[in-house]
Amino acid sequence: MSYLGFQILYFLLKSLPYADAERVYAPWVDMEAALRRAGRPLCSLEGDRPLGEFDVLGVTLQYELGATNLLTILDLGGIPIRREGRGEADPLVLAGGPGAYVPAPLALFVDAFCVGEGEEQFPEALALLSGLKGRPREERLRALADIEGIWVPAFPRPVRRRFVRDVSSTFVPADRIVPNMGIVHDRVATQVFRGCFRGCRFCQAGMTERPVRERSAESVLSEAESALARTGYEEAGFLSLATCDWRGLPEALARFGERMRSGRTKVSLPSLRMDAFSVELAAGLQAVRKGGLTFAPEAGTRRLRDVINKNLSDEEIRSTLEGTFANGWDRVKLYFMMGLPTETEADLDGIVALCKEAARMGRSAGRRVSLAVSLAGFVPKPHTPFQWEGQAPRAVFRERARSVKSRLSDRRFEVSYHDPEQSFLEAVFARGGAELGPAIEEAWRRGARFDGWSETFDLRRWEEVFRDLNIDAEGLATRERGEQEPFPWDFIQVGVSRAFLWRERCRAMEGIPTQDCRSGCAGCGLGLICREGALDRDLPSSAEEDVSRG
Amino acid sequence: MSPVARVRLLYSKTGRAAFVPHADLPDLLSRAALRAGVELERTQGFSPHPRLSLGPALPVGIEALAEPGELWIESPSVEDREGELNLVCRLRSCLPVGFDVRASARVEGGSLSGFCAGAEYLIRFVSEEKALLAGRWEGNEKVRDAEAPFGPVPGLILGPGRVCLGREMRLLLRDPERNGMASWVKGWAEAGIADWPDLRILRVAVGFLGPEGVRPLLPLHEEE
Repeated sequence: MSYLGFQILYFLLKSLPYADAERVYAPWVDMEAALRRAGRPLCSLEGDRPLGEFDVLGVTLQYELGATNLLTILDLGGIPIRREGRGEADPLVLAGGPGAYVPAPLALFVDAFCVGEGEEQFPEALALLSGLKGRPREERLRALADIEGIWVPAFPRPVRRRFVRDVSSTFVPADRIVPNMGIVHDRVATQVFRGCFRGCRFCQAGMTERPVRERSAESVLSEAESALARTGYEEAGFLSLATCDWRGLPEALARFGERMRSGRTKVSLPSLRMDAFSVELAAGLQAVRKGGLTFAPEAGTRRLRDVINKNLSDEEIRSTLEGTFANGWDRVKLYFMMGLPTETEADLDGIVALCKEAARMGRSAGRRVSLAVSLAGFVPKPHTPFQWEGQAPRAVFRERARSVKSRLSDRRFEVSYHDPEQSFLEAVFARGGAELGPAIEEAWRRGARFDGWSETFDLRRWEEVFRDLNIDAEGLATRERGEQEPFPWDFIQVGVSRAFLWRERCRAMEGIPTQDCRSGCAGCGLGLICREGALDRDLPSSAEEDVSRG
Repeated sequence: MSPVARVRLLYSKTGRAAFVPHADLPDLLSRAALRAGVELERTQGFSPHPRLSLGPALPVGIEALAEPGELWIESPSVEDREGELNLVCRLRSCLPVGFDVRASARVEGGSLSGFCAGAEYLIRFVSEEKALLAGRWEGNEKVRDAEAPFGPVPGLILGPGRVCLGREMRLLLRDPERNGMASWVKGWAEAGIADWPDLRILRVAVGFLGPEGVRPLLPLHEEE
């Protein structure tokens, strides 16, 4: 429910003359059991129709550990799990979202993957399928495979990511689905730009969603205002990978000001950057006022932050925290990663030192501060400069997390860390290929459900499956790859070249930051299509093509 | 500033809406009101929110025909009965599927909870046999205490507040803030009623206690 892309695509499909859409979500384990007991299929929410009766089932792949949910939906919906087992009457199963950048593990189950921003190829695919209704399945799949940005496992070929060139003219939903109960991010979300200027080397979205495409304050406000009026929500969220970088933000907040001052509308901003500007901005927002502020320094030392290209000095961190406490907040949440490439003890000491200093600063500002410290295990993601890295073993994650936790033991700190076993499985799926398909099916048959949820996650079940199927999961997650070694996602061209990613990796190892895209072109491979007026040109024909760097 | 109109509603919550938790209703109703162009008064305090008040919580899974609630409406101003009905009409069209407004009136005076003396439930069992099985469960002292006596009503009298008609049972409970269906359902489960597949529960009304059952706090619209 909280995912904006889902809302965009839902209303986009509903606006098409040749298609309509209904929703379905993976049912929680108790509902699955109830459906199986009653012998009833999983049905769409709107029309209560069994999934097997639809022409197309579209699935969004948001997270590595959602794989088994896909199988639950298919099976309960009356659709054969493996694509090869599907007949003429079964729906075509399409999948999109970040998971489509690494489709191999799910290729056993998905008929076609939409690579990139679905507004582009999804309507095109549906128009085509609408014209081919009643034609043999194979013919329909072949036709899909001819669409740019769609990868069909039955007819594989390299595929280039599709993306919206002109965000000012792309489809914007005037409406939102309003949930009947509280959800995560319970507000009207509006995306203010796509892509990110920053180029953090661990971040997949920062690489795959390029180039930056900003919307005007005008367009964002008119979308937000329409959606607020039509939903009855009282809070709008300006979303992006780094909203403080949005050039329209000051204007948007100024023009939203009156609504906010009346107390009837709130604005929230995700992902605050650690700088004075962001804190001042947050200080003016009521929705942000009440809670605490969340920052992501990601690493404990300047050295390691340079490695990951999170250009953030100790001084900036200090002044941000000072500003935060001076503005009256006493709750701060700090996100860090463990197991980043080149990490040493000194970097963990840096996390501890930074947190202790934050607490000290809070005290000297006369506040009783509480600091929530969150540690996540680093997952080397495909299509990033760190795609060649191995993940740190689980024991190392556990040991480092405990070490940090034990040194931040007084009650000003609340240290939590992401389950290293889940981080491990994420890495297996992020880095593995088609060999994982049968493992996913087998784990699901043995009961794996909602692996992204700690209450249902059980790594032992997965380890048994990997062992029984002779899959070296440990190696998939932790082995460092060679420069020329092929990846299971090589045939997906996101636009950023492998040469650029490798260069960024080399700079990372030397601790050399790379300037952000606003300051100058780093030659990522998109060939300057991000420059004004250049977006109507095509992507370079091969992702390997690299622009020469001046 | 125009005066705030306090409007009492009786709303129904049926079908899948029975699975929307009570705690989510304030947001659901205030959002529906905004969609209808109705602004509610804001509460005072550190975190102001739309002012509304709801009757005793209805457990998840139970449908209802006439649940009481009150809205403090700031705008548009409600001048007369016609204005109020217009506004309620707009609100109805903006409610999610499964919710409807069945009665409304401007009110003053004491708070809603003071009027909710009893609740009447209609339980439909999957068969007459199951209904009789459930009827034989006498309950413990606590649940029997919660029964409010019916006057002369049709059906097989099972207890002071329990009447059986075919595969349906009427149950009259006092003080709905404190007494609900949970103990009954648990007891019936022990008596061999397999929980949800075997029964469906409807809260017919919450309001004043009378000899023929619960009298709703307002006359229903279609009865006017």
